[in-house]
Amino acid sequence: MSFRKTHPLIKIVNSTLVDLPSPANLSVNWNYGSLLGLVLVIQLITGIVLATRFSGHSDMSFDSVISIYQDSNYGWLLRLVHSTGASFFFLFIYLHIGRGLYYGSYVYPEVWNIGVLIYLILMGTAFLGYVLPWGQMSYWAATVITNLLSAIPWLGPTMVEWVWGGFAVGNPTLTRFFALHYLLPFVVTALVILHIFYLHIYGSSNPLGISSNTNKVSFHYYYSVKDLYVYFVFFFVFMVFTLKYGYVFMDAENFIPANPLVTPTHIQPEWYFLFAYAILRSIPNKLGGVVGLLLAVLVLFLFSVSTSKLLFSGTIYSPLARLLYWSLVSNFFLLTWLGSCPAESPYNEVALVATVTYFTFMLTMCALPHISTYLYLKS
Amino acid sequence: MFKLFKSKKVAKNLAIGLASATTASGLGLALALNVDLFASDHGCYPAKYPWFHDGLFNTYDHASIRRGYEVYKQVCSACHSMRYTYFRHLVGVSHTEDEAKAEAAEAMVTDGPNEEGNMYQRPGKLSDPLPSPYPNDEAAKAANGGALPPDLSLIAFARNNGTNYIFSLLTGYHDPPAGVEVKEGLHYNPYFNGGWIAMAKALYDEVIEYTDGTPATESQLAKDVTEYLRWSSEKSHDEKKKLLLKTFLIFPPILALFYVYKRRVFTVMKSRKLMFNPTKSSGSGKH
Amino acid sequence: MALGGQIYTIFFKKSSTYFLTLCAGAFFFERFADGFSDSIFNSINKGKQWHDIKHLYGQPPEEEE
Repeated sequence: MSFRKTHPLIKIVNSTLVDLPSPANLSVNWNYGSLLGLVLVIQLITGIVLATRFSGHSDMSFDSVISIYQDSNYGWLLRLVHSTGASFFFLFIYLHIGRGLYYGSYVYPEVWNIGVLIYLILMGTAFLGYVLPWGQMSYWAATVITNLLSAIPWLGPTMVEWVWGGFAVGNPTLTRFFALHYLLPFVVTALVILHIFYLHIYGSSNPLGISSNTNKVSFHYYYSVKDLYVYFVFFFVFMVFTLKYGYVFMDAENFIPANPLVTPTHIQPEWYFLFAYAILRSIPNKLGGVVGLLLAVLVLFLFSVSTSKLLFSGTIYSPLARLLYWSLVSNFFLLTWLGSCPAESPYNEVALVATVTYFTFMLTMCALPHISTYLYLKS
Repeated sequence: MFKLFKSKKVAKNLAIGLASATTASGLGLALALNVDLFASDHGCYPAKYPWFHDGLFNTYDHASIRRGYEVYKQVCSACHSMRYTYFRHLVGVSHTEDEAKAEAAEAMVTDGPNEEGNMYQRPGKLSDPLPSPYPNDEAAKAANGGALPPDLSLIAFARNNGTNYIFSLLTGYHDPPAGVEVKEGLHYNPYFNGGWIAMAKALYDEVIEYTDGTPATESQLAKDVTEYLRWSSEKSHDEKKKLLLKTFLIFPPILALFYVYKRRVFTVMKSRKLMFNPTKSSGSGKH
Repeated sequence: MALGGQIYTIFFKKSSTYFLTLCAGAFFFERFADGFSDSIFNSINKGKQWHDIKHLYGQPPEEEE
């Protein structure tokens, strides 16, 4: 037996990246996972290098970020890559989740649930990171989001001040946000390892939605080369996007230092939070909005409940399920657009309808495999 | 398995109709609502101007940056600070090192404390930021009727559609339309949010004289100072554009080679044939 | 073919020379690609960059570095 199959540590790597039996028919939709791993590494490296030059103090944070990007060697590139990297992280995570819903990846409960947990922590990490440059939008995003805690009955007001470390968002908030923003990516990394560990217990799903046990190829030389090829395509697109549009995606307000006395006319999060933001604002009650926001993500956990007896999963077995899927996708785009609109009369009503349809589509999609299985067994 | 849905044809059609109607009407309504609003509500949308640096691989026009610095120094700097732009940034961009040193030396900077513990004034050095007209924001507000002139170092990024907006704003002053009441101490400018801006029109033909002899028309002044402010917002811009060009030169050949290699690796797998021969013992599954 | 065979035996046959060829190739390719893209960049932006205009402000025009 060769060394790579016997060494206690190397054999783990071997069974993950070299000899892993993989389905022979994986499409490009099975590349998002490895791309997410790459983006995670990019974010970790650029983030740690940026942290060596950053001051987590409310008096100096803004100036230190400006100094990074106009005075240090290629500091501008690090900062641009880190900020567009966050966007690509969410782009791939949405594609990855979309792939999972389409092809029914939730039948692997551990893999699915850890994945949703990674997504949740990632949202937190991205929010914390957005606060760090301490521009106007950073400050007011922190204010709006931390204020959501105050909707919790009885404990809310105490918890908000506990999170702030004072009576408003201020220096203690920024400092702890920096510490957490540094910590959470490592938690994500640990969860990613678990995610892959559990995935390899089951083996990857494949576009046909049936067992691929009779048709496997080894990972190395097929999917290692394919992943590397897609990595290079990504690098190209990513560099062009970063260098051409890097600043276009930064909010103009965030080039103004944080000022607690001036509220920006139009507060909005980055594009990847807009759908959740639209759901939050669409519900007139504050607590209701916060619950809606949480449920919008937590509803994903529901998909993995009691999937062991399912005869069908995903959407490929049924045109109705595919229709639901694409309705959900367009609903997601609609919510994203509504999140960027001002909270005025016509948008509010549309947002409320879109929120209701979002949950309807989600819950129906979740229930459909169970209903189909039930009807099939009965017929 | 498709039998299931054939037998439920009515329910299926109903569901399809309902789902697509909701989505379509939602999207249609959303698009219909996304119409332009009245200019007087939110300010005119600036026209798109052909900035040279907007090109994919184009740098700033450095002669224009230099003229823009002259405009800033002689007109804007009376009210606006540029805290994040230092004299050393001018070296090799719009000024020689000697010129930048001379520019810096014109400013008096408070430094100290010295050995006796007193603050003192000294001529500026390359490591100093451009001088601020007011000691602090409160003084700036007091001198400008309560309105704070914003810091200009990052202004091209701190406003939506930065360069076009700044150019339009600087050249957009005119008399208010008939029927609009004149506001005391404010000036009418349709490009400013709300239409009334505290800053008076600052750029007129020949308000300064360029050292390089370019005719100092109003639009030339506005264009040059906008280019200068754009440079100040992103001093690494030229380097970025060069890297973009290198990306476009290096990646396509690598990708082409990698594509061929990937296809080559997959040839065997893609061209094989799988045969399924059901036998009595294995092929009784219902499908 | 004879030349190709010679190149193969000298540069690519042994792993040690193959590795050295790669390193040298990377070095020369980088110098070439860098110079090539710089010259394209400078011709696209002719007259706009600082080194195109600095002779107007008291510095003699420099040779291409």
